[in-house]
Amino acid sequence: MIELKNVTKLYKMGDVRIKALNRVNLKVGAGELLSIMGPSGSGKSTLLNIIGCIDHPTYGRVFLDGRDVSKLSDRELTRIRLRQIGFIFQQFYLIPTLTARENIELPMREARVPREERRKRVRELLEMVGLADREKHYPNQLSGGEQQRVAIARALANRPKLILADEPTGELDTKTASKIMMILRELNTERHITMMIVTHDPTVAKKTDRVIVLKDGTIEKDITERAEIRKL
Amino acid sequence: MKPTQIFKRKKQAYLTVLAVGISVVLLISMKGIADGIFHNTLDDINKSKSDIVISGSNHGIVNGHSISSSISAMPEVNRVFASLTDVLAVRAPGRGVKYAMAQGLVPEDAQYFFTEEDRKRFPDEGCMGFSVPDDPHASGGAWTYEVLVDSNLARDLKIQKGDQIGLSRNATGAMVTFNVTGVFKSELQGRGITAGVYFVVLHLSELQSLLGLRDSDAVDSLYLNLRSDVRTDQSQVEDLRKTLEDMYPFYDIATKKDQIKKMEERMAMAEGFYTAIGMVSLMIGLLFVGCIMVISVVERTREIGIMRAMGISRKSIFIQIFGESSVLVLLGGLLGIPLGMAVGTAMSDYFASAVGVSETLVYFSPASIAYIYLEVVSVGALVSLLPAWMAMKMDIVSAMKGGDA
Repeated sequence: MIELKNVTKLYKMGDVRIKALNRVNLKVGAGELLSIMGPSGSGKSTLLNIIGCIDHPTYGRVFLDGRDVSKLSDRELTRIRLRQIGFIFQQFYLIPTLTARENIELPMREARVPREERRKRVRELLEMVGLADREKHYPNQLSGGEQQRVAIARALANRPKLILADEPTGELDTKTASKIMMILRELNTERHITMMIVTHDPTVAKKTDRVIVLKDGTIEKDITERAEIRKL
Repeated sequence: MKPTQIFKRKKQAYLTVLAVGISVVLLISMKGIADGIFHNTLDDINKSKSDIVISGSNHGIVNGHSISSSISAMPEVNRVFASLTDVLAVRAPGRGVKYAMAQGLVPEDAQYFFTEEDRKRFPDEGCMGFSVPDDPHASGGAWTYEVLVDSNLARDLKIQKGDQIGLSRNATGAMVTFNVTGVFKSELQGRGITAGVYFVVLHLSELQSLLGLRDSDAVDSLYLNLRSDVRTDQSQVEDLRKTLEDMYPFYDIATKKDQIKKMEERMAMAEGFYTAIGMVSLMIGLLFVGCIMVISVVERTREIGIMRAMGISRKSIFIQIFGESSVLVLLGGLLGIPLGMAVGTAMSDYFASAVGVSETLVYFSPASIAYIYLEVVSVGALVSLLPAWMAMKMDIVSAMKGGDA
């Protein structure tokens, strides 16, 4: 599903060059649920952005479903993001002027999904995240947990194969965070969606099947053993 | 996104609509008043019974009565009437002195000199208030000492019909006593500065004598009313003009067509001035719109970054931002049209009542309104390109961090 070969990302900050990722090699199979951990500045979000086709690697290659995406044009990357990848962010990032339904519809409109089909999917997704009665609510009329559930529904709108979540529970209380993780887990199990979750929180990482630990732009650990994951 | 989303960003929407609306109000009201004045003057020229005007600057036509007689004898000409205008001091015994604009004419010419509407302001009796229709003093006869005063002067000097007043070139000069044979309604009924503008009308030759122009028989202008079959035939009018130019090469000779052309030239200059002011106001208004839209895009940096991350294309972002500002410009323009017409009409009414005239000084042509609207919308669309381009060009990663637009 995902393969990174010697991926390096350099940033320029004034005259200083910062190596956000250093020769990262990673393979993620279809339907995996994995988390990425590491201290601030370790390169977690950069890795997620590169896998999510938001950012280009400075060196190295990225393959999605066997296709090298590291040299694709902006238009092609946009198309991949729209149809194959769903994003979930720590601060939800719903469009404040759109209702829950309209937020979920937004990527479908861009993908030119017919109106009836859009409505059907919105209903299904809102029911799935338990917000069928919040369809016409604006983000500021929803709690943090509800907003994140709408964001999850939005990420699933175009039926992506891959979900990238950047600290999806970071802004939520423990109970709500647990519910969100349960939804993501179910999506992974029932829909076989590959899921990569960036987190600081070991309790979130413990709910995933594989944990990648990044340090200074390199993969320090790649934990797949359940027992080891439990020790986090 | 649906167009109605625009109005959920209330401040941006209302400010944009307001800025465009004000620009359109300014442009439409100014254009309406300029067109109104033009149409009014054009209407006056068209209604006038004078088909050709011979004029000389500052009482420049000498032997006015004799030239008038010669031209009257031409087969194309129905009537010739002369006019002389100057300022006279008017003294009412015991009530002070005022200066008035004096109009000298031959009473029987008044029906040609004034429009039918104007003549309604004058007394019914005699020949518009004069006892004799002709100008007896011109042919060496006696003075009539008849004068008509306007209602403003009658009010301020407490003059009424039958009173005697003194007229002179200036307040210190020897006054000649005239009999007030009628009071006519002033054209200027306003309460502003025009309330102090006075008019008197007297026999042409008597005004000439008061001004010391009797010997030269000087007048300002001669107006030619042509035979009905000639006045409708422009080629005959042009031929007559050429003949008159040959006969009187030192005078300015203008047909109605010439007068309209001259007026159009002046209007074109005024139009240029008006257009410059209008364009400046339009540019300021629309730059304001551009600034609001740029600020809006900067405020929405993160939102745009997220949308791009979700797979919304650059093109869609461009269309959305451009569409939003264009819809606001369109709406502001539409709102500005009735408001501009209302403001133009109100300003025209105010000026007309201040001056005291009953004319409507405003005219809204659908073509002008459509042109202004298209102009505003086009410039508005151009201005909207910048924020739309900025939004489209945003780097996703820095935009998601809420960074530089």
